[in-house]
Amino acid sequence: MPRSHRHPLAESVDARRWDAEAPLGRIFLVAHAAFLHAGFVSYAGKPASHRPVPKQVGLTASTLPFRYTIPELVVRARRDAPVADAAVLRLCAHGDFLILYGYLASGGRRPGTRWACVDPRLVAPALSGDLDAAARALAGGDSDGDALGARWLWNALADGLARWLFLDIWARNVAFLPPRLTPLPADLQAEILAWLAAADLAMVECTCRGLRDLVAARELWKARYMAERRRLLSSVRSEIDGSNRSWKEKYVATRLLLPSSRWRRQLRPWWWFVGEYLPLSLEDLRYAHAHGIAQRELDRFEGQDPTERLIRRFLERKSKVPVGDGDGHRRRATAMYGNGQRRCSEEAVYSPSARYGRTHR
Amino acid sequence: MASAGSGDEKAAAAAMITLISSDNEKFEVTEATATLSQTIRHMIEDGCTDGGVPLPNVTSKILARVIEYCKKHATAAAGEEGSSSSFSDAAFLEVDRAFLEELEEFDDAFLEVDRATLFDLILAANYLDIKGLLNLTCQKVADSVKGKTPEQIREMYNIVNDLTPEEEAEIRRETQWAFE
Repeated sequence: MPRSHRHPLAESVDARRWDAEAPLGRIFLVAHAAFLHAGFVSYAGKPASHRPVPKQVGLTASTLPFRYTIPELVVRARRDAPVADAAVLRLCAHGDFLILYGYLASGGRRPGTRWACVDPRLVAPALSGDLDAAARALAGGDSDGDALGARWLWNALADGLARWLFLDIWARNVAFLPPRLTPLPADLQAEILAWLAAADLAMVECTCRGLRDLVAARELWKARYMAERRRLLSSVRSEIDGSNRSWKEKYVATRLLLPSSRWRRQLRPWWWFVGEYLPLSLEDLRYAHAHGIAQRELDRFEGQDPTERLIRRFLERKSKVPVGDGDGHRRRATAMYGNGQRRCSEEAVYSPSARYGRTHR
Repeated sequence: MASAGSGDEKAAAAAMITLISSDNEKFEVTEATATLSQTIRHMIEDGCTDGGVPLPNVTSKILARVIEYCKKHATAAAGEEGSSSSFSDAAFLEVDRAFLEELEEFDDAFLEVDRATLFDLILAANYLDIKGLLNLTCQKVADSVKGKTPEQIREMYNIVNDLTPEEEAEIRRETQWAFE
């Protein structure tokens, strides 16, 4: 996968030290990179912690302070107070799992913690190679099993744990907050998302739960579908309209009939304009041709056996790294409970009521 | 445009409205400028603008920018009215085009701000109900997302990923075409 910039991991550690590190230490190096990537800087304002990382973990990892602060506070610390607030990272082994806890030094005796749970067995294969291979796996370059585990690790640390702590430390210490999209009123968020091209809307939907729900609740896909709908042959149109699918699925069905220029908003090829302006609709011919392809695609969509899908998902689930954040009640770290206690999303999604909610996005 | 200037326009210019920001700074603006904001327009219609209009959730820094925008666009609106009332020959169209281009340039320069200010402008435009400014700023934010991966978007706007891996894979699978 071509990448214009190096992965943050490659920025924070050199290849020689990476190679000399034990597997467990490498997870620490990844966490360190995730914190630096989130906007933290290493901070060693206080003497080394009372529970340093043991030497066995790895030489480089055991020298890292795992105290982080933000540049704004370093400046202030020099001026006003000698000690800046810091985010502290702790490691805890819990059975076969590795839990990374993070909390603010200013949190007092019982600081609120954020955490991420890592299954080392899933992550280790992807991190066992050299630095470049590991960076590629963390970036999600290859989509086979090993790399998937590594990508979840990076997501859980960089987009979860480290970002939570980054926002916490801002909220506690700085008068103004960094620019964020999600605290804006829902109306304004919807207003902004309404300007996006379909491909970008799909990207935004993947970022977090709040935005995914917002896109569904405001029926943002409906507008995209309606914009394309009038271009369809009437028979196709009524077929799609009549089907019991979500607005998003309807849009995706339309997309199969339209050239990709429509959803990327790229420059249209010349034949598009020919089709657009000829009185005898060339476009219709093209759709009639495309319809065969699309119909097959739809059959695949509809004809899928739900049981088979569930079985496949169950097998897939075994290769997942459970992750979590501070308010653990929202996130269910699946593998941690392991048994029938899981009240996880898939079941909810395929339950009739939730299905209703999702088909009417 | 200038030829369209008449007695009542001067009267409108004379009617000044005082806007008071959250940090108690006062801004004197003409009524034509202030009425670009629907919120203030309604207040003027209700006649409750004596002694200034307090805007408790707009800081002076942001209010100054908003007023800058309103002034520019208020003259634009006045210009449009002027040209439509006189018959539009080629010369007028030419003037209009130049004016619109200038306005576009102004908008582009106006949006050259950091993201925090941009969000403040969105909130202020929403509160004051200035449709043009709201569209402009929202579009700017949307543009900044264009062509970015979910990771880049999260990084840019400090979004915490609270989707479980399964949920994220589900969405990615639904919209596989966008990732190709």
